[in-house]
Order: sequence, then C-alpha cells, then structure tokens
Amino acid sequence: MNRGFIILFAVLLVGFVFGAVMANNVVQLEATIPASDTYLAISVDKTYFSFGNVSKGKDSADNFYVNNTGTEDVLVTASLSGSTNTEFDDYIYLKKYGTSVFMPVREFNMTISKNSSSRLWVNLSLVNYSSPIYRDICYKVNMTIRAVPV
Amino acid sequence: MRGLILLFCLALFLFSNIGAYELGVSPPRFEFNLSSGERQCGGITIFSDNYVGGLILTDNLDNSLKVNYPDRIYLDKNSKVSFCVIANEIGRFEGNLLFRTENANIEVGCKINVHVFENLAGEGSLITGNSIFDDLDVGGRGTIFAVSEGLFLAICLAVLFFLFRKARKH
Repeated sequence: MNRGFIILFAVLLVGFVFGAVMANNVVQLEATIPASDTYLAISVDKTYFSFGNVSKGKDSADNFYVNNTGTEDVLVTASLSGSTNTEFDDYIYLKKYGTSVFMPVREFNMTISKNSSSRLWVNLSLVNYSSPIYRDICYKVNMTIRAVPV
Repeated sequence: MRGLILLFCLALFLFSNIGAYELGVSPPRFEFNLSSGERQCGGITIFSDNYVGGLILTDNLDNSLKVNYPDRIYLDKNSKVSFCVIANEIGRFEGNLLFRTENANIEVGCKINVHVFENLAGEGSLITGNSIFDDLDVGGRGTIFAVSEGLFLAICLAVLFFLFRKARKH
C-alpha cells in the first residue's frame, strides 16, 4: 500500500516538476504595435428600404446610417442604377439628418469625418408628379453609396 | 387575381437596396509625378470583414491618362490590386479609382493625383537638336570637345604667327 502510494507520489512529483520546467521554458512576448497606415472605409447599416404604397401627390421617407470607419474624412455621394422605371428616379431625394432640404440623389453630397457616423433620410416624393398612372407600378432601384477621400 | 398582383407589387414596391457591408481601401490616396510618356504603378489593398464576392473597378480620371487595372476582382477578406498610370499630356490630374461591390452597392474610391511634367531630356533633342544643356549633360563630353576645339584653334594661331614671323624675317 505504502509502496504504491510512494510510486504514485513519485509519478505526480515528476509530472509536476516536468510541467514546471516546461512552463518555465515558455517565454511570453508582448508588444503594442500602433496603427500606422491610413485607410478609407465605410459601412451602411441597412440592406433595403421599403417605402410602401406611395400614391401620386404623397411621399414616403426612411433613414439609414453611413459610418465612416476609416482614418480619412470622406466625401459621400449617391447614385441610382438598375431602375425598373427610370421616370421615378428623379423623385428620390436625400438629405442629411438635421438639415431641412432634400436634394435629388445625383446632386447630393456630404462630408463625414473619420470615425463618425451620419444619419441620412431618403425620400420618395410624388408630390409634384403629374403624369397619369393608370396601372399599379412596381418600382425598384438600387442606390449606390460612394465614398472617396475629401 | 388583381389583389395578388397588387400584393406582389407591394412586396417589391419601392425597394431601394443599400448594402449593409463594410468596404475599405488602403492607402486612400496616391501621388504620381511622371514625365510625359512615363509609366508608374501602384498597389491598393481592398478589405472587408463581411463582404465576400466580386468587385467592379472603374475610374473617373482624365481621359488623357491611361490607367491599367483589372475590370473585376474577387474579394475575400482582403485583396490586392495593382494598377499603372501612363501619362500622355502635361498637367495636373485628379480622380479616383473606384471599387464597387457587385450586389451590396457600396463604392469606395482611392484618390489619385497625377502630376505630368515635360520630358526635357528626350524632347529637347528632338525639337531643337543638340543644345548646350544636352552636351553638358552627357558625361562631360561636350566640355572636352569645347576644350580640345579651343586648343586646336590656339595651336593653329601659334603656327600662323610663327609662319608670319618667319616670312617677315625673310
């Protein structure tokens, strides 16, 4: 009994010492490497918008965030493509949250400082649309948000 | 039936897609100083944490600059793109090399400033022939020629002077 206990104790002791020696052989190295490169990066927080049912003479709006996650101030513009009915492209407007005037997408531009976000409103306004609409129109368009260095 | 169509239309009605992805480029700007006809190249890293797919490349640089780059690349976390600029006209040009996701509809640009100056060494010889600048610029050969020409003339003058004196003595 004592002999078995001694053997077990010896094995544990050897394992402990070996483990301790192994642990001592590992030298942890640590350093802080500061960011030194510049980059431009943006993200947009929504995948799509649904304006819902917008009748002639009415409008509908929604908002989204553009995040400047890079190290540079960026100039943000927008464009439309792949429209199912280009006639309505002229009735989509953008504005920066907090400003009063909506601008046509092609004329819109704004600056977003580095490491900050801006909230934008996108609006489909058929208030001034005057052409007759005799049938329901399925309208879909892609909006590209472009960011370039200021 | 009309109700179904209307429902379908409402489902699609006025969806404006905006990608929820992040997209970045580094470096954000390039400066090129070229002589006319010269070609210089650069490299751009494009990265995204959550977008994997195709990127379409375009540019809005001046047409007098020839910019070579792939039309499309595949992005998986990060990709590197090489591009080259060849300048044909003198001047300062500014534009962007743009990267647009195929389906996410985000576009980021790398600003490219190009300063094209006159290629003096090449064009001076072609237009006006050899100039003092050209002669002095080619390893000092012009200077050696000028010295040897002067020495030759001095020797000729000395010989003439010697002959003249000899003639007068006679």
